[in-house]
Formats: sequence, C-alpha cells, structure tokens
Amino acid sequence: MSEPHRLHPAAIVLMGLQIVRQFAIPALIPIVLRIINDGLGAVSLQTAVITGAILLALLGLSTAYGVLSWHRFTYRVEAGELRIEQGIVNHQRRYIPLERIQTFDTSQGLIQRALGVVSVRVETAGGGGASPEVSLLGIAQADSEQLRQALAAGRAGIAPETPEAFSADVTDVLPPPANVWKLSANDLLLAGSTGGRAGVALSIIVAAISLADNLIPYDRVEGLVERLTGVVVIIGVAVVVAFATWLLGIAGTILAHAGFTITQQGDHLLIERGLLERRRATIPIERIQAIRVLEGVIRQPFGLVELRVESAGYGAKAGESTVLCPLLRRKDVQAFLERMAPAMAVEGVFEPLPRKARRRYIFQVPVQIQFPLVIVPVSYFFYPLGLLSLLLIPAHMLLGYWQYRDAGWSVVGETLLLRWRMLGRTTAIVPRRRVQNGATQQNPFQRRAGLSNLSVRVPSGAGGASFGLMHMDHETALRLLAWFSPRR
Amino acid sequence: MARDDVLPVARPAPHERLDPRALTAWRISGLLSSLMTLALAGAVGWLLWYLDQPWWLVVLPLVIAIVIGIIATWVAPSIQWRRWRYAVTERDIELQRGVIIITRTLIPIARVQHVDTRQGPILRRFGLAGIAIATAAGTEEIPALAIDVADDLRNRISDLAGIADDV
Repeated sequence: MSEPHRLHPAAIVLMGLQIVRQFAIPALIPIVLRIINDGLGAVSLQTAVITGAILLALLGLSTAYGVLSWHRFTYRVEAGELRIEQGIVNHQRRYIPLERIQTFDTSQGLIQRALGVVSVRVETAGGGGASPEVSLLGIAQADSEQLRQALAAGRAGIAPETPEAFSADVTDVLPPPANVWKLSANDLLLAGSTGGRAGVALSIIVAAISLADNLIPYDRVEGLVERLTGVVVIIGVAVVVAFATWLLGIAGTILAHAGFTITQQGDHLLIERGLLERRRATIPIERIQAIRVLEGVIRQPFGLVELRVESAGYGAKAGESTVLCPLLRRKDVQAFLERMAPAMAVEGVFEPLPRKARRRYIFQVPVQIQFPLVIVPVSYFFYPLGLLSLLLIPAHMLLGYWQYRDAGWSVVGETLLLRWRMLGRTTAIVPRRRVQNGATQQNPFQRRAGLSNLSVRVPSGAGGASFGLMHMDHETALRLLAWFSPRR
Repeated sequence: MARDDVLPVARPAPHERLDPRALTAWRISGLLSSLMTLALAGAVGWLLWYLDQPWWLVVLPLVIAIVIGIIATWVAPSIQWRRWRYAVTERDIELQRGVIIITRTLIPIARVQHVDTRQGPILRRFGLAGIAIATAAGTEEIPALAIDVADDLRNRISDLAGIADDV
C-alpha cells in the first residue's frame, strides 16, 4: 500500500454532494422568490431560464469540485505512517504515525450503499474534536479491508522495512476471524421493547390510570355517562401515545442495532451494526479502559443487560462510550467478556455500604428540598388532582433506599468493581492500571459521620469518564485510594 | 469487614504545603473580585435608591457584597491554604484541598502524560507558579509554589513519569 491510492470513483459523487449541500439553500432562495413573485401556475420564461441556469451552475460546480478533489485525494501507507494528500487550491499533506491510530470505523449510508462503497474514519488519541482526523469519503469495501489490515499490521509492529510487503498477503499474518457474536432477531426486538422508551410508555399509562381513577364517580350518579366517557378517552389516548412511544423505541433500536455483529479479530474487536446505515467500528482490545454493565429498570427483572465500553480516543466527545452488546442475559455476561475482552471478565462479591449511609440515601436533602417547587404549584393549580404530586416524596425515598441496597464495591485481584443505581443499575469493571486518578470528597456532614464519596476517572472518548459511589466508609475509601497507586 | 483486607492501609493526609506567599496572592485576587462585586452591588443599590425603595433594600446588596468580600478575601483563602497539601513520591501524586468539601486525589505517576508550570499576573508578582498535571482523563493543578520549587517539582514528576525531556 505504499503507492498512492485514489478513492473509488463513486467518491466523485459523494464529494460533489458536499458542494450541493453547502450551496443548495442559497441557490434555491432566488428561485423560490421568483416563483412566488410570478405566482404559482404562471411561471414566466425568465424564471424558468434563471432556474435552469442556477441548477446547471450548481451541477457543474459540484461535478468539477467532485472530480478535482477526487483527483487530488490520495492515501497510502508508507514508512510506518498513513499519508493523506488532498486539497484543490491548498495542497494538504497529513502524515499520521500508525501507532497513534486508535480507531478505524467504516459506515455505509444509503447513498454509499447504492454506489457500493463505504466511508472510513480514522482517529488518533487526543485527536478529539467533532471532525475525524482522516475521513475517506468513498472507498471500495475490499480496499477498506485492505487498508484496515495494513494499519493493523503496522500497529502490531510487524511492519516490514520494505513497504512492498503491504499487499494482500498481509492477511496471512493475521489470525482468521474465529470469534463472532451475533444479536439474534428475537433479541433485537427484545432490546427495543425493553429499552428506555418502554419505561416512558409505561409511565404514561400509569399516569393516565391514576388520572382516570380520580374521575370515576364512586359517590354520585349524575353526569355518570360524561365522566365515564372522559375516562375512556383519557385511557384510550394514553394507550395510543404509549404504544406509539414504545414502537418508536423499537424502531430506533432496529435502525441502530439491526444485524449487530461483534468479531474478535486478532488484537481488536470489530463491531458492525445498523439497518439503513451500516456502521463498522474497530476497538483495539488493549485500549479498553472500562466496561459498564447496564441493567435498565425494565430489563433488570428479566435478567437482561446492555454492555458498554469506555475506550481511549474513541468518539468525538469526552466520556462518549460505545455499545459493546445491546442485549445479553445477565448469566451470559462473564462468558461473553471471556470471549471478547478476557481481561474484563471479572466477577466479585460486592461489599455493601455502611448502615449509616442508609438514611443519607433515603433523605437526599439537596434533591428533595427542590420538590416543593414542583409540588406546591402543581397542587395549587390542579387541585385536588395535583395533590398526587405529593407522592413524589415517598417515591423518591423508596428509590433512595433501593439505591442504597444496590450500591457496593469489590476488589478482585487487579480489578475494581463498582455498582450503583440511578434509576437502572450500573456495574463498572475498572482494571487498576486504567485508573487515571481517584478521589474522595467529604462535605462537613460526611466528615462528622466518617463517610465520603469516592470517584474514579478513566480515559474515555476525547476526555475521561468518571465512576463513583456516594457515602462510603471514609476509611475504606482512603484504602481504595491507596490501592489505586501501583504496587512494586 | 473481612474482605477489604486485600486493600493497603489508609494513608494520612499528604504533608507538603503551598508557599506561604500563596495566601497573600489569593487574598489580593479575592479582594479584586470582591471590588468588582461591590461595584456591581453599588450600581444595584443606586438603582433601588433612584426608584425610591426603602433604605434597607438599598443597603441590602452592599451588605451582601461586603459579606461575600470578607469571605473571599479573608476566610476562604486561609482555610484553603491550611487545607492544601500535596505529596509526590515515585509511585503517585497525592493532593488534598477544599474549603467546605475536602477532596483528596491520587494520581498514579505512570498515568501522567505531561506537566506544565503556569503563572498568572498575580502569581508572577509574588514569584509563584502553579503546576498542571495532565492525564488521559483530565488535568489536576497544584496552584501556588515558589518558582524554583515548581520548576524542580515539574522536572521531578516528568522524570518519574518517564516523559521524554523535549528540551
């Protein structure tokens, strides 16, 4: 791959489309204005000519831009670097050392799919920012695979001195794909129907039922028919809205995760997903910083979880994580991690928080002090129905107790496990050598009670992600802090 | 608890303090920002007086600004200075700080990506400098050390972290 390669000719269209996108609105404004001026149905010849001229100019400009930028754009792998040259007026050269490359993602939108090409994004650590370090707009699938293997081979340090060796026989060096996990169609539907939207749908129905319950006249007979009609209408509307929400959630999951396949290939994981737009993400296993096991409120009773991975240099924003597995049985998590990221397959018995933390979870004063701001106006303006908002307080206390019950930590060998609940329950798996910093925080009340909050930062995306536990025993938190320091 | 015996013992708070001149530097910057608040409060007070409000309402913003000013120039800097501790060993960097909420931070030295010294206009006047310690997940700062101490410490952290000297 040392000789310069051009993108697939289909890239001409994709690059041209960028110009169309940029100038479409300014080009359309005069056309629309003229048509309005003429009046619909009586478009003058002058308008038609101007319209034609503008569209022709746009077509010409975008074609010229597409052809020229396609012609100028070359990529090659040479001397341990990915070398990109591009630019029509300003010639730009970008050389990226292969060992700095963190991720290699491909995606295939509708246009790319029609043209039979994929788009490639390459990112480096600390690259950050919204735009990718390198973006190859249209490249044949086979070429993208060849480039990926050339980059992987270079990263793995088997890059030979002679650049000629970067050819098709590189595939011999890499182990064949052995380890594949696919999301079944059933699980895809299950993931969609138990996802976050399902919770929203459920709460809409619960709210409607409690509302309707208040309208049912248990004591009076007059106006019975009207009231019952009202009840039916409320519940009917709520059911329809909830059902639509739920279906949207399922549709969203199918769009994002249809055909979810994760392949362990040598030293990296390849994640492919998406219905209309096929996305392929590559995560070097060595760059995995932490795994989060998410158990949503609806999924937990069914023993279902979602896995997310924090990976350095991946994603545009700080703390952006990637779905490692959209749906898994809880009992299969260890086996799954054992296969895909063995270093992360760690289980432990969780140490609970001290008893004195319990009332702090139940009475979360900083949160609960805000409730009157909701309850007073709602109760006043929607009296007597609004009084139901008083239920917010016991509900929140119950959630607090639940959060206390589920919170815990565990140290297994070189790995820290943290478990906490916001609404759903999260278990974070953090290897000690990934911890960038650990911290304890104590407010004056915690100081008196000998409690403190613990937090752990790991690299994620362009910045870091933070995991933490509230109201730990302070002594234990300090011992964990000391544990973050590596041993000799 | 039996199972936490896998953990090392808790360490006492780190012992190194910031430079004593930091206290004066913080007081001056606290005073400067208090004067800004006071000017703002004066403007609000004048507006209230102009609108014929009762005298206590006219005085209220000034009183609040003065209280905030006393806290920012007198109380907070001395608590902060007494609280601020750091320690650098060949394995880790430990920090302790905070006025109301006490934070203790540990950074494994192998995770340090680069170390900078920083100097604002006030610190420079006092011959002080801060150190910014960057890891892959964010930056921590030791705010005010004597310049030569800061330079030494920066070089020491840099050496311990195995960062190549780019000079």
